[in-house]
Amino acid sequence: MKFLLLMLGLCLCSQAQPRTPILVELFTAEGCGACPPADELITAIDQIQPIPTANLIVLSEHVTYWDTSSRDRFASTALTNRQLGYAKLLKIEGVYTPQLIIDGQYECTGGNGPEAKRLILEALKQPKPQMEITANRINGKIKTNVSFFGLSGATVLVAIAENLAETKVSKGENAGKTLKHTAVVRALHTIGTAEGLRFDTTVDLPMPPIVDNFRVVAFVQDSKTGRILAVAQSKL
Amino acid sequence: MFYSLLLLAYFAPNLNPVQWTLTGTPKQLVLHASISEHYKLYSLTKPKGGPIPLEIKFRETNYVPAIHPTQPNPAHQLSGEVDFTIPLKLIKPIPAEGLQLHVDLRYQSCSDQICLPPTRRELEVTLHSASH
Repeated sequence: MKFLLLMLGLCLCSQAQPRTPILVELFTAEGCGACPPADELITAIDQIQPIPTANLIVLSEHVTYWDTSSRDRFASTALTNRQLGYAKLLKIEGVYTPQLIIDGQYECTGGNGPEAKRLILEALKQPKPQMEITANRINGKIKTNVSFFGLSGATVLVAIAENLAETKVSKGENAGKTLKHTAVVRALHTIGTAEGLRFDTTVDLPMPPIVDNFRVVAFVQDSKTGRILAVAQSKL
Repeated sequence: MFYSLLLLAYFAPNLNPVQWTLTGTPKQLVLHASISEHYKLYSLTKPKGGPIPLEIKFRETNYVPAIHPTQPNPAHQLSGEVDFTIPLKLIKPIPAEGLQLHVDLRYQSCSDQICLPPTRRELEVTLHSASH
């Protein structure tokens, strides 16, 4: 793990500092031979939180275009479309895996730790309002409350993500490998649009087929630019 | 593996790493792939499972009902400059004005750092009977 931190060019600092939440999305696929190093990097970022001023909230989003002869059980068309949406917004000529999107504004190759660090530091220059999230499992649903001030006109989304998932891949470029993923998105819901001074909404979200360990990540996104305006997570 | 990651030099992603040209005569076409540095193309021989192999299809099946393209070596992944040879057996004479053949390609490519989704390209070549 320390080697991955070296990739990021970061130090382990114990000094407590206020941390700004940054959303780090990894578009990946189990059928993509270049993706396992990026999966490892996102795991390291999540577990070690290596930038002292950032609270790095990660999501692994599996895309479908590698499902040519075997299916990635975490992939969905919605996530593929989300990546295509970023390509349009960020004016990239196409999509690829693995790809990191930092706060909906910056992108780089998924395994490129030094570039990810540079982009995270860039994203940290933008202030973010505080966002509160609570999530509880009640009667087979995930009761989620999201609240924040300001940010009128932006879309509020909630992702339900499996904390750690593992697959022994049987076909394709990664055949024979056991792949480990962090914060694997299993469902993504739009729960509203921020209007007025305060957004405070509670929703009952259906429970995806996850056994136990998952997190709920809420974020506010400007649909015109893709920029993440606020983000918070609750681990259950 | 961690050591190899540390040594990896990252380069800007090239989202169009394979350039194609199609040339030939009524007896044989040559499909040339120019594959960018760091990238590999999944070849005709790529087994099922995972990325798709290169697919070559002709639209004018009334002239070319079947093709059997070959590649320079049996590797599943190819890099650099590669010629695929496509022997032709036209089942109808070429019209006086020439015969335009349209070829549809579908393929996938990867580098050490990124992989691209299945890509489609359309190529065309005009054949003349005088070139027999």
